[in-house]
Amino acid sequence: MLVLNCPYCGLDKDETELSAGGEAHLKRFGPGSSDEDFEGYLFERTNPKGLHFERWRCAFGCGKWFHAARCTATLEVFGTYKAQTLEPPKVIKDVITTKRPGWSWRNFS
Amino acid sequence: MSDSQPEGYVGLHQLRGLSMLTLRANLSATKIKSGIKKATGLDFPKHGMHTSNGAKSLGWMSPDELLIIVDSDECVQTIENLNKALVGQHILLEDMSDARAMFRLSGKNIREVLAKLVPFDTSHSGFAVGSLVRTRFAQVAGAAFMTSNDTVELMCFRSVQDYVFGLLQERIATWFRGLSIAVSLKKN
Repeated sequence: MLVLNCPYCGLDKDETELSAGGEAHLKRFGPGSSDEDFEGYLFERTNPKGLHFERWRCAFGCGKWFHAARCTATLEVFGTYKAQTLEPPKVIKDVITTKRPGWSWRNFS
Repeated sequence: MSDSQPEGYVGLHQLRGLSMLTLRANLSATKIKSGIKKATGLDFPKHGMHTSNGAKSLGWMSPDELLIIVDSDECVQTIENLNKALVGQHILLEDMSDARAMFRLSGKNIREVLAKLVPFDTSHSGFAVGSLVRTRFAQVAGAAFMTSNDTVELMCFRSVQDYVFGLLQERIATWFRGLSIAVSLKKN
């Protein structure tokens, strides 16, 4: 069972109280962007075995969207953080560096 | 159904005659907090908690949502007071009285009954008196207010009140199977 701590309510939420929102840190390409960028924004998703950054919604709780860094292979959770950010905060990156030295994901490392 | 008072382990009542107001605002703003305190006379609840004086309560629902529960008779006056106290602030206040239903479980074993319905830790350390947790009861969304060591109030959408009432009845009944202890179930 996956348990994530919602950074808005501060409570540990069980997987059944959350809804998954796919990959985090997507950059939106809207009207006026090139076809490649728009296609990438709509369809291109990473599907890593290992470290992944995801969006989750505290659906049965406070209703807020947040981000989670976790391992898709072991289900280890490195941390959760608020969604009002363009990249994972340093404290999350430090935890990942301790546990998965030399990690990289998209253009973060 | 029996009209007697609950005895034995757990009593179940539906609470009527309550009005609920939803206030959306930046709940970390000092002016908002003091305005709400002035309008309702209650202390502003901490993160994940509720405050109550018996008749009235304030519940922390999310970083930008507050639930205000009052007697139906006081609803109009409370809305007026809040609008007056929060004038000039960026808020949204809505009367949600008809959207939700409330149930009260009472008895010393409510934590065990609750544990059969919800996915969170219902022990003293996980769900202290004064807590308000938004969660799910079996398959529907709801919220649980731990009002004292032997009462918990459960809130759900009115559209699923019969489901939740049945669910609670069933969970209490399961708990009592084989025990010859009286349970009273009362739907006011």
